[in-house]
Amino acid sequence: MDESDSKLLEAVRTIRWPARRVLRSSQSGAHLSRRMGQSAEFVEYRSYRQGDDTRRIDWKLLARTDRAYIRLAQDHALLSTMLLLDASASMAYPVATLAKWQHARQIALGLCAAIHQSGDPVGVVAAQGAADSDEERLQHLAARTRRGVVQEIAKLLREVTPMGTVALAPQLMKLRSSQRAVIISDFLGDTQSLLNTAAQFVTQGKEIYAIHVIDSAELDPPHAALLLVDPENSHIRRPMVEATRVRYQAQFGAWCDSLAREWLTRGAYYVRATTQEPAPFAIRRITRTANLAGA
Amino acid sequence: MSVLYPIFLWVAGLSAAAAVGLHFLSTLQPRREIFPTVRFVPEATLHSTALAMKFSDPWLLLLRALAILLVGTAFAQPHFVLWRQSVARIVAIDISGSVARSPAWREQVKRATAGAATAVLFDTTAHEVRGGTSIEPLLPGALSTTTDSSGDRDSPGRLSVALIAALRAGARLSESANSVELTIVSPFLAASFDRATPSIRKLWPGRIELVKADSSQAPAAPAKVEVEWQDSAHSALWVRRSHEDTASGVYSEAATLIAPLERKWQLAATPERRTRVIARWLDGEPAAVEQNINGVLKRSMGFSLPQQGDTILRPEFMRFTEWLNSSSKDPSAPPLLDAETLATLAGAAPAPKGATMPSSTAMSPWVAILLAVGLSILIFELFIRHRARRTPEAPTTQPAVA
Repeated sequence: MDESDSKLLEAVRTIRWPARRVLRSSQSGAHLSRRMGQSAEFVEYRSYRQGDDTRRIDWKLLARTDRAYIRLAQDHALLSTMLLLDASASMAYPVATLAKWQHARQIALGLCAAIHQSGDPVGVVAAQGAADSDEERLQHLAARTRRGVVQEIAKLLREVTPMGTVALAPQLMKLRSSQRAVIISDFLGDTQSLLNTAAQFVTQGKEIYAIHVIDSAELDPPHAALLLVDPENSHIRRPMVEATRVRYQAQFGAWCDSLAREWLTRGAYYVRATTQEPAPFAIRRITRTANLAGA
Repeated sequence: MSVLYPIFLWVAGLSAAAAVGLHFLSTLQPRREIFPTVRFVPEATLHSTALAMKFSDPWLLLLRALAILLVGTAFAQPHFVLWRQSVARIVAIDISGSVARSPAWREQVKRATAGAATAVLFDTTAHEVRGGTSIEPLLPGALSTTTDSSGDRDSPGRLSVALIAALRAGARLSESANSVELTIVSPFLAASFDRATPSIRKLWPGRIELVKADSSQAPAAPAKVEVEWQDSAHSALWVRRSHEDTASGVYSEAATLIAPLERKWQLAATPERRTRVIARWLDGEPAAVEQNINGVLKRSMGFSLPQQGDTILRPEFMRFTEWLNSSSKDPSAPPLLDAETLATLAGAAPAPKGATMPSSTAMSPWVAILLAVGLSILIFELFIRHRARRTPEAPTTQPAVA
């Protein structure tokens, strides 16, 4: 783990990432569960119904009132979280510094740390394309709670180099077992398919987070006359001059707003993270429940 | 290195410079940059105002410039000489029968060939003796061989033949020498100068040194003239005619004598070689001959002059009799080139700067080598260019997707 990662983990050391919904999971964890169980956190009594486990009858209360009541306690559940990281060629920008990818990687690592600190299992999938074919390569680490998982994720992400083209929707579909899925991408690929898949997740009661990573140069392109080339399709070339620059900013801003609406409409949480904002700040913003909808 | 056609070198140099310029011009296009959200940039026509000159594709430029220069040099036909001598001398020696093979002539030849690179021995044909830097050691053998084997000894040496052979030798020598000089050793008889000689002479740039040799056909002027009349002398040159007649007259180079002269004799069928007809009857039959025998000009007349009458009073008769006894001019001596023709042949001015010998037709082997290398580089350049096109425009970490 390099120095910047260590600093990041130190910065997010106190962050926890609670679930936004009551979970259905039966595994005992830190998040509120829909199940009423036998934990020490008493909630209420309920009249005994046929079929209830007789071991759960509060015998002292039965002795006092001559009525059979069941003692209900609030259960806590684990929130298994998987991060899906877009490692396509469009994330490798600017070419010299790869600032966009580094920012995405740091957000992913910080979120993993926050999840791990919440006691939840966390895993990651980095989807990258191949340099010379349409083949997709996945760097995968299953969701775990064990100590050292954050370091493993940091090592895995450091070895990933964004390249090629990637379809994220099929990868998201593979994460159905997770209660929470975090997509970190620039959403310049199969966005519509991804939105549809995310909608299915939401209807299943799962949490979907869409972290939209944007480089500052994408928001404010350079003023020099340039011939811009799409990194994932070299046939797309457009000139960038002052006249087109203004129209680009308007179109790109409109697209970002539209994308945010699309995600929110489907019940997902959309967060825009630009490279201007330090990664710990972005992580705090993502994990802060109150600000999620207004990102 | 010297080149035959420098214009091709100039053209190749200009073309290579143009290629360099084009490589600079190509960089005037806007800078290409990877941009992930390029799809949101509206389509527009770009009018580039970038003025920064930036070098592009140095390897392609190097290959192209090299190929152009090599092909241009090949077309220029270079000749590589390890070292050049300042002056190469060619000596053309007349070895025809018209040259008197005296010790003086041998001395003339020896002096002329001292330091000469090539000797051209000529009569009606030419034979070149190459001696590298000096042909002096080779010359005696070559002279004896040539004089023994040559056929037409009696004809004078042809200057046209000598000049053509000298031009060929000069074209060869000019590849290894800064300048080429020509010396001609000959009697310079008028017969050795034909109508083609002036035009061939113009092909040789600069002066030609002329060394005049003695002629074998130019004996000393006769000190004495003897005239014999056949009617009284009965020379073997003449035979008696089958029937005698009276022709109306004879003509000679001095005068035409019209008189009733009796024609009793006719020239023998095979007169001696040295015999020359000096007067003829009006119908063309020889009337008088002469021979140069040991310096004595012996004239034999096949008729007799009248001794009396009006004829002897005429001016023509007097001129005829005066010419008959004069020995001031030896008509049998072959005429020499006049001074004006000799001056034209020698030329007045040295070779102008930059004047070149007519090129030899032999092509330098470097032409094929340079052409082969140049074309190979062009093929290699094609391969490199094709490969460069296939290389993704994005960095290796971001391959373009077709």
